[in-house]
Amino acid sequence: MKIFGYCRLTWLLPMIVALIMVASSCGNKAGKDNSGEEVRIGILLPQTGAWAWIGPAANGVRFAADQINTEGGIQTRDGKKYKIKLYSEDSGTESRMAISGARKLYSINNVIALIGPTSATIRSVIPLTNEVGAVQVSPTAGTTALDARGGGKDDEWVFRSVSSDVTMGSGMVGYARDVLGAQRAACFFSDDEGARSIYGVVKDACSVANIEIVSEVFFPMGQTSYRAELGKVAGTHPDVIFFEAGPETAGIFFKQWYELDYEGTWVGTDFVNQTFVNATWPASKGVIGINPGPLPGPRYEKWLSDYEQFKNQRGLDPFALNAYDALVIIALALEHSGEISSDAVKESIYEVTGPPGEEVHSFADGARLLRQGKDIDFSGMAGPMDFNEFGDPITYLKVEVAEEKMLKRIGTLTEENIGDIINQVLAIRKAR
Amino acid sequence: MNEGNVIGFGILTAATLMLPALALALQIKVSGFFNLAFGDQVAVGAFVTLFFHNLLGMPIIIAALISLPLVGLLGVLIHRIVYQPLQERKAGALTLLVASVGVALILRNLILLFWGPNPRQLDVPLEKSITVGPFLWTQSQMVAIGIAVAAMFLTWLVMNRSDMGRAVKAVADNVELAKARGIDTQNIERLVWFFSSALGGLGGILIAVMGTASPDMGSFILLLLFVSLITGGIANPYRAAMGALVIGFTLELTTYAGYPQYKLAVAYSLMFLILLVRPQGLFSRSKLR
Repeated sequence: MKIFGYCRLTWLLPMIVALIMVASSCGNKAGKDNSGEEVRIGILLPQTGAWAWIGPAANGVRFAADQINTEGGIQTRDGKKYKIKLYSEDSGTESRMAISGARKLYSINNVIALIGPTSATIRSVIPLTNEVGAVQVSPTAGTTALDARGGGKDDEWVFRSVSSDVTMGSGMVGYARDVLGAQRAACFFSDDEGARSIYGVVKDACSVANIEIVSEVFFPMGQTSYRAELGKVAGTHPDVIFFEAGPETAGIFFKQWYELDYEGTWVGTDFVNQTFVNATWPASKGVIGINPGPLPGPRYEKWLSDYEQFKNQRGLDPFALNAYDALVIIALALEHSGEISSDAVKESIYEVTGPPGEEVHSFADGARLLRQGKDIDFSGMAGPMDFNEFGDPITYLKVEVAEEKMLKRIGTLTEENIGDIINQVLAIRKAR
Repeated sequence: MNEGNVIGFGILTAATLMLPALALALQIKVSGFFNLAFGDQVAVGAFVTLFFHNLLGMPIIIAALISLPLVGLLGVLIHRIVYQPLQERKAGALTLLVASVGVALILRNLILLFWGPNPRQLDVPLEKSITVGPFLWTQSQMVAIGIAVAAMFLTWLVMNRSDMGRAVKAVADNVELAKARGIDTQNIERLVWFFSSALGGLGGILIAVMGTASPDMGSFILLLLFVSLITGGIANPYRAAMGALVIGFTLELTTYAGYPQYKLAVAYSLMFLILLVRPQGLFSRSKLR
């Protein structure tokens, strides 16, 4: 072909080098410390792409690392103390980026455990974690594809510090049934694994809650128009519209929903956060979000105040609590085993997170009790971290509504409120 | 929602794609390579306007009028610094294509650097749609359609009724012959880069007005632009713009038919079908050489 005829290698090579330099500059690299007395932990979260809004969850990990290091670090059996050193890579929203980031963290940065990534990419990273024999804790991946994987089963040491989507989907439907009195629902979900995972739960939960699903729409992200999709939903006159979409896409369709003067109450997932509201306001006024969130109270207030001081910025980042808990769990497991290795985390992770033991909420309290030879049961900021056999906890959910360009908390959902739906949904899914 | 509404939605989608499609086709015609950074130039148009409107508080029209020449100048600068030196050294289209990937990455990362990864909205008031015949449009959308049509007509006038337009056509047809006839081909190329980049930037502004601006928008737009170009006919900018109209309708009608998750797949399939049976494009009269 003619266009290839003029190709000159002398020009192509510098271009490729330049491209590699530009591409590599996109990564967020921590400096290398060869002190030897450090625990290397990797953070693999999206810094770019449609799920980039999740990236600031890394602040939760950094905050936990800062607290642990301030306490002197993790003490091993021989009395040595190890500080935590974090290495961060961008998982983007594609498997290719996530695998490349994980590979770098494991093979170049030699991390012993990985925190991340999201539902969009986690399944592509797990084989690599298995290959190197490391431990992975995801603070954001609620995908139901992991409901029967991980926790050490089949030597897959993957855990989550966030509930499975079964909890969130059940919470959405439970809230619609109990508080909104909904009887007819529409499902409006982006066409990706994470959203389809939630949709599956919502569908099962609706059958449990006797809510009729009157329309289902799956749409590709990043389009300039969702008008026809919205018309399909509005035409079925639902009481409630369950949805999941990133802020980029939601910013477009909420604007178009308002323009077309359609009516309905929107109930979304953990995608409804402050970033989402910033990108969609004022069209998203009244949108309800069911999110992982802490129990309100003095403990959380104190944590939030310290967190804001640490990052020198107001506000709680999405999944920051879960990310914080993920690192504390890893650190307590290392402290419990008295060694610094992936195997040490595997050996002790269940020991420090479940009963029996004294309930602790921080690394400092946990480490103190462990050094006194006592058992501990870590309960995180995001909720109890009592892992089931597949390494999944049931964390708290908060209910928020978009008002005056802010999210206002209007409720909390725990196992007590929505346990009936969760259990029935789990039974349906197990029977399948 | 009825068929009329869907056609109206298709026109809106097309209005956002037509200008960038026309501009990209013009650029390809004169420069002879696929500029993969074009989608990100469209995004720059949206973000520069965001800067003047949202941050400096200028009225949206003023912000757009200041942004467009700036985006045009950026296009000229990119051409002068990156592509022209390569072309002078007789670099082939593949080299230029690879260079354009580098430019795209730089532009996207600059947007990320200044604006962060999250999508942004232009601070324009929300409006309810009104019924215009069978269509449901807001007043701003009607203005946007008007701007798109007017910009296309203006481009047609310049290209067909001015010496400059004739010079552009001459350069696009045969650079050496144009040089022999005394046309300053480099100047014409600069002019085309300015004009096409500004036109692409205008497309970016329209997209941001109707939805959001995000650092990633360039890659999504670029794909749809290439599909539009191939569908309409790459050799003629107006046919490329007509291709955008076809793609706009295809996307909306696929959704109306009940398959929203496949709307991109349907658009790509249409493009492949056209490549197989009519590679010169739906609206081109001549066969592809």
